[in-house]
Amino acid sequence: MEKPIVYSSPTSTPARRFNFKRFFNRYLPYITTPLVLLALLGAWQWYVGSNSSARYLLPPPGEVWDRLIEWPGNSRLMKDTWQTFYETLVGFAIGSLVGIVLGYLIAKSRTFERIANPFIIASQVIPKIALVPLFIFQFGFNSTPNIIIAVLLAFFPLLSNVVLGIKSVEESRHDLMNSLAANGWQRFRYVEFPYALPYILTGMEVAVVLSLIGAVVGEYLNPNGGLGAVAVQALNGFQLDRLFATIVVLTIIGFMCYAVLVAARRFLIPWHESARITNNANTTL
Amino acid sequence: MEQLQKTGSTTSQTQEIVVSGVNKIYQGESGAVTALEDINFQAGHGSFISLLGPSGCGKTTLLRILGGLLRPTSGTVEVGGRALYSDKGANKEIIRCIGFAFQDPNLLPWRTVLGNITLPLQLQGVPKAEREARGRRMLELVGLEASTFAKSYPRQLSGGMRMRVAIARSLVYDPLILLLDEPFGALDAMTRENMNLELQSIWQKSGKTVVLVTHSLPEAVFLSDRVVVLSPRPGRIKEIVPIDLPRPRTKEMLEDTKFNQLVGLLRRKMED
Repeated sequence: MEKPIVYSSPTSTPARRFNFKRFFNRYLPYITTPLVLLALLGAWQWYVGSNSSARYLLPPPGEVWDRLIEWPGNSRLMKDTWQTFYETLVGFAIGSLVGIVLGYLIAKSRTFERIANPFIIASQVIPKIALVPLFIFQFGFNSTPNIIIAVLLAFFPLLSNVVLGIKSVEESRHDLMNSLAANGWQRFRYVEFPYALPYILTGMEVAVVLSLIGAVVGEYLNPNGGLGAVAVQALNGFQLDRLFATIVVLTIIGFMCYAVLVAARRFLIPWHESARITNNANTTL
Repeated sequence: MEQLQKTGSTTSQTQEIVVSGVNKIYQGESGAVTALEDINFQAGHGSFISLLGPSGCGKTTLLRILGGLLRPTSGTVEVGGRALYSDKGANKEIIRCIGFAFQDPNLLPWRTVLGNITLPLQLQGVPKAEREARGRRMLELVGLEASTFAKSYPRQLSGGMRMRVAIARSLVYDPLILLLDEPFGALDAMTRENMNLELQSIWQKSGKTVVLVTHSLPEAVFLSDRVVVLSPRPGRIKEIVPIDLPRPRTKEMLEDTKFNQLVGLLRRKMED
């Protein structure tokens, strides 16, 4: 049986073709994110407005917004913000370096793996918050204890990703480098590192978030400063609007760090599947 | 550059490959498997040798041994009178005189076509401008326009093009010995014939010693001076068949009686 030919089908005229699915996939988060946020803010406002006792536990969104507006003009708060940002970045940088170096050594040497593993596991299972007083005792009331906590949290996801990445390098790649009489450094520089880079970037995306958490957790117990200390002070002074504003600022810092790494993925590994824009939830912020 | 010339001059006589008493035994979980048994042959200075045999006969294993990638269980491989393997492993200086093209193109997906071709030169410390110029020349030599393909990534190329890039990479540092592991296996018949012609002309111009692994009878006859026929399980040399057809060989010769007699001879050698 022959199929009837439909000349007026809208999809057969290229000029009028509108690929709804593609548009939907691509721009969906830009539409839904503000809508969901607005809905949440509305529910928040409605809850606070309808329930008089709720005001003591939850400030209305408008007051939080006022605190946020004041934020950039307050040099004390900006100094605390900068301190948290600084601790996060330094913790992330040191943690990344430690994670990559240890991960590489573990992937390459079974002996090193067996020597280092118990200590690495111990460093992860120990409740790091319990270490903060110890570090404050050792290093004083300054940024160092907070950075150490950030490092301890940040290095592990990098380490495990680097181990996976380096161990996944196919035998044929090693054959190629052997056939070119490459030395160990060249093998790392031209094959192992680029091969592991997508794994490293994935580890970094997790690590930067953990580094921020580490820095803030350190600051909770360390009255030296930073947004963690600001949050504790706000709580002690019952300034809930300020506490909420602090959380929003921390969220913005986290988002910024994460966004930089997602952008780095597109820039550093354009050849990799994970860097393609379409059909990848990870790259559409 | 100076270092390159130095290795070049010390290796001017290293084009002859002598394989004596090579055995390769793999220790598997289910016991030992003999992949190669008592392999003896030589590939003379500037000659073209094919290793022919059914799958599983150890052709690739033998080629990897020749390329310094796999140490034989016993026996020796000498290149230009020097042992390829010593107690310290394969001699890197000899490996630098050997170009190896793998069965699959084995290109690095994060490097452009030009970046892949020039990788060997980068490892040797050749300056960027020079290695890119040489890389572009190689790209043209294997029949790809440098202006179109140099900046492409491997995934944007067809299978045949990727194989050409891999061959260009094995030729770019002008190795004195070229080892090819079924490089044209994935190509269609017409492209394969053209690549065979190109390979012949590259070989004739450069005077390299070439060892080619293939399971195509016409390809072995078309290209080789001598064909080493291997039998499977364990891999043994059944016979070394000289191919005394005149050079350069042309497409017309594919229909010659002499050519087809040689193909028939190889077939019988492989079958019995």
